[in-house]
Amino acid sequence: CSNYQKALKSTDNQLKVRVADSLIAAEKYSKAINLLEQAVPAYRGTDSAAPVALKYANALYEDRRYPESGYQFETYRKSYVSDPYREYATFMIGKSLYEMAPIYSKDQEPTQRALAKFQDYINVYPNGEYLPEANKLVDEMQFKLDKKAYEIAKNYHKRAPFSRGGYTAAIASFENFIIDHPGSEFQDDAAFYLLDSQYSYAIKSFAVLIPERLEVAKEYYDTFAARFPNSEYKEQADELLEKINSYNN
Amino acid sequence: QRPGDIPIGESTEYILGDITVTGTKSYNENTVVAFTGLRKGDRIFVPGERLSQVVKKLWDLKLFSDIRVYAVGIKGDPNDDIVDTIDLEFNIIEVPTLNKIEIDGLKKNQSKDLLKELNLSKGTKANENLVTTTRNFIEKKYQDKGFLYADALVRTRDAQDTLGNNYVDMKIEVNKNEKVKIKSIDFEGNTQLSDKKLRKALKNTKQKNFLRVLKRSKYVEEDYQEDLKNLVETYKENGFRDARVVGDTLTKIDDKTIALDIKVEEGNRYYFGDIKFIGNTVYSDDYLQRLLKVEKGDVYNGVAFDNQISDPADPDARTLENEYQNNGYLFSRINAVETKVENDTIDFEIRIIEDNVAYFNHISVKGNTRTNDHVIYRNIQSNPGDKYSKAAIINSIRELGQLGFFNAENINPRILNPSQQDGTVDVEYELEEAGASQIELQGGYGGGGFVGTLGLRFNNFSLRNIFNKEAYQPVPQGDGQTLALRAQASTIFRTYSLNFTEPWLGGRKPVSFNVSFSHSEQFRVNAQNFREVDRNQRFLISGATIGLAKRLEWPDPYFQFSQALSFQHYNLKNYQTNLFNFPNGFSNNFAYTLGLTRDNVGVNPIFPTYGSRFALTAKMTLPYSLWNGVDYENLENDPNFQTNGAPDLAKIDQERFRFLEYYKIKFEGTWYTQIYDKLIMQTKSEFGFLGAYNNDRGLVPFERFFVGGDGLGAFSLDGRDIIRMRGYDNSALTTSADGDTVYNKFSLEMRYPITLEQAASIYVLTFAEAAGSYDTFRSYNPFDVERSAGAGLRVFMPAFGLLGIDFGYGFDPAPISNSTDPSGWNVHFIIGQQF
Repeated sequence: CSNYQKALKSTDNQLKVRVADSLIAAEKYSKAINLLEQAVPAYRGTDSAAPVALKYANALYEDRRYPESGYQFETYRKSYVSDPYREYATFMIGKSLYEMAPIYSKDQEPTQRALAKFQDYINVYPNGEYLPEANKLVDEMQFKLDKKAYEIAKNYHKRAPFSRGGYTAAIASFENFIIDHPGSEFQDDAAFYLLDSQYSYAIKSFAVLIPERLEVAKEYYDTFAARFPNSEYKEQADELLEKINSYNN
Repeated sequence: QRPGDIPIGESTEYILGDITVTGTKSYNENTVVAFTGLRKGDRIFVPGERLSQVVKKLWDLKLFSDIRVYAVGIKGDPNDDIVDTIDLEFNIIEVPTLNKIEIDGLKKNQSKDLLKELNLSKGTKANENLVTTTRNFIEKKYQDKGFLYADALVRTRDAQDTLGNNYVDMKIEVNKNEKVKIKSIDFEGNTQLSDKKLRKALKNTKQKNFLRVLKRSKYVEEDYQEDLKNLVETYKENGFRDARVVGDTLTKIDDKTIALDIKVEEGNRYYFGDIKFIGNTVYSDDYLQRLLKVEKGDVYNGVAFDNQISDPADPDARTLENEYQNNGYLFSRINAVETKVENDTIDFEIRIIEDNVAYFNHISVKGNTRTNDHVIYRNIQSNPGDKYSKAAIINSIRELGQLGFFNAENINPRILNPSQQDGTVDVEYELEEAGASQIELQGGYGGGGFVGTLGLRFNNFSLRNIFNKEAYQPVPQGDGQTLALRAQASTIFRTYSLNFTEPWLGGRKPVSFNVSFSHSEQFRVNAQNFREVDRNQRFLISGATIGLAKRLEWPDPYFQFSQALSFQHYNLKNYQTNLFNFPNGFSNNFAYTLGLTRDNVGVNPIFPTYGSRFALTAKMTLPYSLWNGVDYENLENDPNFQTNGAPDLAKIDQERFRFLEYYKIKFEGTWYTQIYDKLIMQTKSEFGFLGAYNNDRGLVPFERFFVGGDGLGAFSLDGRDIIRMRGYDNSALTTSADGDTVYNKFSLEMRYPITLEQAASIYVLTFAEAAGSYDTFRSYNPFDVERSAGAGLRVFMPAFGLLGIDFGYGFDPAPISNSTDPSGWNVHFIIGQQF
């Protein structure tokens, strides 16, 4: 610790970096950041500038200061065009944003930005070292966006019995979901709940409207059954179909 | 010769020699030279364009009050060239800086304010312009306040400080003169509209009248010009669409009064002719005609006519445009066209392009970095698949604002991807999270010693994340729940309470669920040593409440029905109180509360400006005495309740209070009325009654009303209701020591906001109150009340809640005192959210 204080007050930038290295090794990132923060400007324009800047960005990332680490990796990528670690920095820009994203039920603006940054990475380094991880994270984030949209639609479905226009909101949301999130693993869930919403909507309508609306529900069933013959909802869907058919007879 | 250097007159080309700057005091000569951009060796025409540009550039700096250029020497070229060398001198006079400012003719405070408004500070460059603008500003300021003949004399005096920098001292003499009032306003040329009506049209220019209180009869030029426009507007509203003001004269009567004469030319009165609707298929002509509220033969009123078609000032208005916009016709357009003017009749055609119905498609939310989607979506009324409706969007903004989780002034719905072809439109609600937690930390003397309080209130809590370490930022947030914790302790008492509310139990419908726990311990001080607490003399109260409240759809959505079950257990050990006739024993208070409220108060919960709130609650216990077979009337004769043959009051009370038996009814009505501009009147009336089912068992000493004082329940032991009545000491109106069983209160409060910013809301208020507290229903007389009046201040800051101070004067003697003097002045500190 006294080493740290000495380095902090010292004007010797090499000392700052040396102490920072040992702090990083000991996982004391916030102290290391304080030292590197002072050292980075001093090294600018020298041969050692790149490694120090990279250390700084990494320490920020490890200290969970993702907005700052993202910014530093971005700066790194722009400043050291032919650096061997440029690929790594490019990847880490996206990863910092990825880490910033909150739980799916809150604003996913960082996720959207992270996806764009990973796309940039994949475009520039189609055979990159971090490609497998980038793909994994992209899938994870895509899943998050799918889940967000699905849960919003599911909530319309949940509130539907108690709110005016609730079923139509659920129907429209599931329909949108099916179109907007084609590769999602919630596709069968959405297709089933679309059927379920349409069925409830139909039977709670005025008598004259019921057959016509059940007809639509039946179409939803057919689509569901054709697309997801092995879905976990198959049984429930079949039950609904039976109810639809028995109403008609 | 280079292009750009155009010789003017007898201008000659030179080579620039030395450049000197004279007259500088605070600026470096080199700086000035550098700024001119001239360099030795440059070729330059004198006089010439370049030189004038240099002067202009210097002039534009506004740092110099005079700039002169001299040629100080012309030398023939040594190389025998044709061009001579010229030496230039820039003689400049720097604009002095302002040093001292003195204001005469105003009171100290006014001078201070004026200085702030003028924005003059030491170091300001004091040029001619400054003097003029300062004078104009002051004169205008006072003229706007009705001092028509206000004048200001602004003088500057040169001075120098010890460093040789020159500066000026400014002396401002303000002569406000008399405030000028308008003695009379007379009209000429008006045959159709009366003088009275025209005077009314001048909204801010009024003649003297003792009965008018809110607007004064001062003369302000700007308002007057605006009012002349209003006058014409009034004519237009009455069918005179050609009316104009042809002249007006201001006559000075004396130093204090003027007279205004306005000459108008009315022109013809016009009437509506045929109004034809074209293009409407959804609504019939008849229906639209009724909405338009205009019929053939009506006096022509262009303003009202346009407002009935579309009124941008009132988004809720029932206009033709809204009729379409709220029913899906997003792409509809309405145009009113004058088709014919014949004599005094104007025909109109209302051309409507209805287009397709649009439906909401994607509804999205942005900016919710803390609050979970479901909390927001359940308050949004524009749902996917619904017909497009402007009203649904406006209502959503209000609902989201009322949550208190977002900056209510900054909820921005964005209409995206409107597609005429698909008949769809997306809406994205842009939100900005706002602080929703409050902390209360206070210490003070009261209740016989130091009292410390810690209160925490989280208004957007997330209970399900309470064990999720990741969610602590710094507390789990985002599910719209409320969690309030409070602990209060002094040497002789401690209270703890916890309150939790979930506004949408189960997430399906707006049924709010509330649960609270509280525990308090009260001790006596040692009889020998008052500093020591005797823990053997104690009074413990533990309680819990669980409640449900449901928003009703009938009679209207502002109604809410609530139910609650509460239980409290009292336990005494060696603790003699006024409540019971026994020092050791217990009592249970198990009650059911029913409530019906109607609340449409809006918009800002801290400073409501309209609406009303009514609350009727009934709290009741079971009528145990109906079936428990105890003959309460003859308890004293029962040997079981006697000691040595005499009735034992302790035993009797224990029997009476084993389970408390009572009912309590309360009513509260509050109205908010806008009086003028931001001045709001709050009218409030309250009534409370505590009764017994069984008169032999008697009224309980609990759940009673204590009227008087600041209305803050410091630590409530016995379910008491503490009623604020300013101008009197705490509980000063209560006639019996146990508290009273009937009370009523009426109050009138005028509120005016100073600021309603997000960081702090501040308002001032004056009030008049009357309240009465009565021992029994027999002594109840709603007109036998004590009265008070006073004024106060409230400050609301999101992190601290509401703080306030009131000064109240009680006009009547407090019943609790034996004095016959008025209660007099009392100061009350208000803490907590009691709006």
